[in-house]
Amino acid sequence: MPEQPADRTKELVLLMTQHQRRIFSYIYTLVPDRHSAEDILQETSLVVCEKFGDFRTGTDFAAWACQIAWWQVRAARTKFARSKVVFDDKVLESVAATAAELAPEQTARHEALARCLQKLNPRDRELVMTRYESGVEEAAQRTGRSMVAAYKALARLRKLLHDCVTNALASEATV
Amino acid sequence: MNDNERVELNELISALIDGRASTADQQRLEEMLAASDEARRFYVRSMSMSASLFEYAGEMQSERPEPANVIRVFRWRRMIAPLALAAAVALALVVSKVFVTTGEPGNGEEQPETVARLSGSKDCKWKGASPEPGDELVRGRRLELDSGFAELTFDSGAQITLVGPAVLDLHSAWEAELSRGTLKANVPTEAIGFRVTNPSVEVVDLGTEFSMTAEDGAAEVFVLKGAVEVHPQRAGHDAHGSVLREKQARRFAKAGDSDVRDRERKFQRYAAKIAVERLAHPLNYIRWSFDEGAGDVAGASSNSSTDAHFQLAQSGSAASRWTDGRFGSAVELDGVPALLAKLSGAAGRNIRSVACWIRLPADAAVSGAGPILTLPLNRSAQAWAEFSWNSLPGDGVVGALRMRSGFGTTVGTTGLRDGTWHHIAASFGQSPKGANKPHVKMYVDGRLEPFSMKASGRRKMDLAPEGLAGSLWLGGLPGSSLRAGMAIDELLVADRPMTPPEIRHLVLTNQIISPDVVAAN
Repeated sequence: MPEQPADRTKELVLLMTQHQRRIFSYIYTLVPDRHSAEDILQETSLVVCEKFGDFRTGTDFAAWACQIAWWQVRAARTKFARSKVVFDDKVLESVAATAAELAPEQTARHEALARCLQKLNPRDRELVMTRYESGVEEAAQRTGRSMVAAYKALARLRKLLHDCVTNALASEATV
Repeated sequence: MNDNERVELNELISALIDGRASTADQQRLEEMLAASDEARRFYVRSMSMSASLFEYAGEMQSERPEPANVIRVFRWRRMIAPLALAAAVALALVVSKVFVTTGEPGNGEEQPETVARLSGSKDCKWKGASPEPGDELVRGRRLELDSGFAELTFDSGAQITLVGPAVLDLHSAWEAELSRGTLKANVPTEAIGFRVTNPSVEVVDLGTEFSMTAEDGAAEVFVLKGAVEVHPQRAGHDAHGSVLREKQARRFAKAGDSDVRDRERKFQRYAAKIAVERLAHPLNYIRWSFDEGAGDVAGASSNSSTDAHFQLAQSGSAASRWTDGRFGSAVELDGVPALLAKLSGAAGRNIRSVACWIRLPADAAVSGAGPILTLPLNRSAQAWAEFSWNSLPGDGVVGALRMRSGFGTTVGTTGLRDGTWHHIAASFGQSPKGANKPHVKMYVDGRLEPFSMKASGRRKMDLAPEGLAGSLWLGGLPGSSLRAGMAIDELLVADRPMTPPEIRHLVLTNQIISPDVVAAN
């Protein structure tokens, strides 16, 4: 990493902190496997550190970092076993374009999601949160469901939350 | 995309996220994404939502609530190590600086649990740190009283007056060990089972008043009222205890047990009343008796100036109605209830205890568990609490009182789903020094509720529910629905933690005990 003045380093840390979710989300959309996406996020972070000298303060950091992430995703795909590559190049590119296009609404959706989670009944909320904390198996166990029932419930709840967030944003927009 | 395609797409994405998508599923998903911009948008939003959920769930896992101004640096656990390994030295330095300067508390260790309170004292001289009247005492605390009288009120409701010189170890809200000196115990029915141990005997209270002295490894037990079970602690002694009744006394030593010498004189001495000085803070409260029995307003009464009534019939919904209560009438909720009382000013920020009677149907379906009551507590945004009954077998007793807050989830042990009235109370105490979580005690029917599950912080959801600020909600927050009916009566919130004797008095008489009565022994 080239030497950087202390202020510049501080700026980098703040920007990474602020935009990490958006960058992770972008990678995860293209590589829909949590652990692979986290690995790519790490690699991306390192490249972002190295190339931070090229970044112009005041421009869109997340967009710049997502560009770097894009190349990391491309590079990672050549290393992955076929089983982890979900999309062909053409679909991957169009999904990436959609992700970039929808980036501006992401923070609002993230925040609306918290409110929607509160509206779930406790057992459902427990299922969702345990799923994302410890995996489907533990979530099924904790909520006294079979695996099949847990998968079904998760699909239903994701749809419910998705719609809730979309409605929340739509009603905010009309107010 | 038509509705069927949307459902199919959601199912495919969900399978992908949960790692159960077949090759055929993946191909179908790819097809749909290639064909439709709308499908791609749905997909991107779904994946972003999943990323957000990982983050929220990860936050829940962190052990402690974070002040709002803490900058969370690289919260993805797996990121930290490789970053440090890389030669990003400057970056690592700043990361550690950010953590230090934002004042993250050290580690996620459990704070010591408080088990009792020094409720009264007279001429106390302590060895070592001297507790002040009103101080909370934590589990494991050793009290060494050189002279004077100290009254302890355990969270179970048991009261012990320690007569110096004496040494007492606090093991829990239900157990103390007397290794030296004299104590007098007063155990109300709610605290039956409270025990005092000693190397030579274990005394289990059956609802009594008894005295105990300990010296040189031997102990004498005097029953002033009621009965106790005594279990001598000698090696080889059979495990069956015996019962000592009123006016009986026994001496226990390593060599064996025997009659007490000078019995009558000692009884007289122990029966004498010990007057201690008590600190009695007034309790500022708001109560809803729900005794209107008709109309659509449930009014509040308060000993401070507050009006915070519940509006019963919200927008014409017939989901709440009057019913027979535990005292007078009560309100019953069904369907989409969410009754709101707006708390004005300090009342909305300073709730430290809550109590009410509730009645749940005996056949309340497990899938119908909904919040009973949600309220803000004082101070930070994490300080709020939602009461419901537990519907998760993995979390402890199903049907028991469950409290969720910004600090964690606790589940009690007493089943509430039996169609009868139960009194529930919770008090939120001051944290021991240095800890930033309030400690909570739950009482059911006046009895301290053991926890069948206590996940301190692990299941933390640190966001205060929407619409909660300054309001108290019955039957869930707006938008939620109760699938099983419940009735609620005699709701009370107060500005300091209620003590076990206060809760007991409230359960038995439906009255707030006055500070004068408390102070007058």
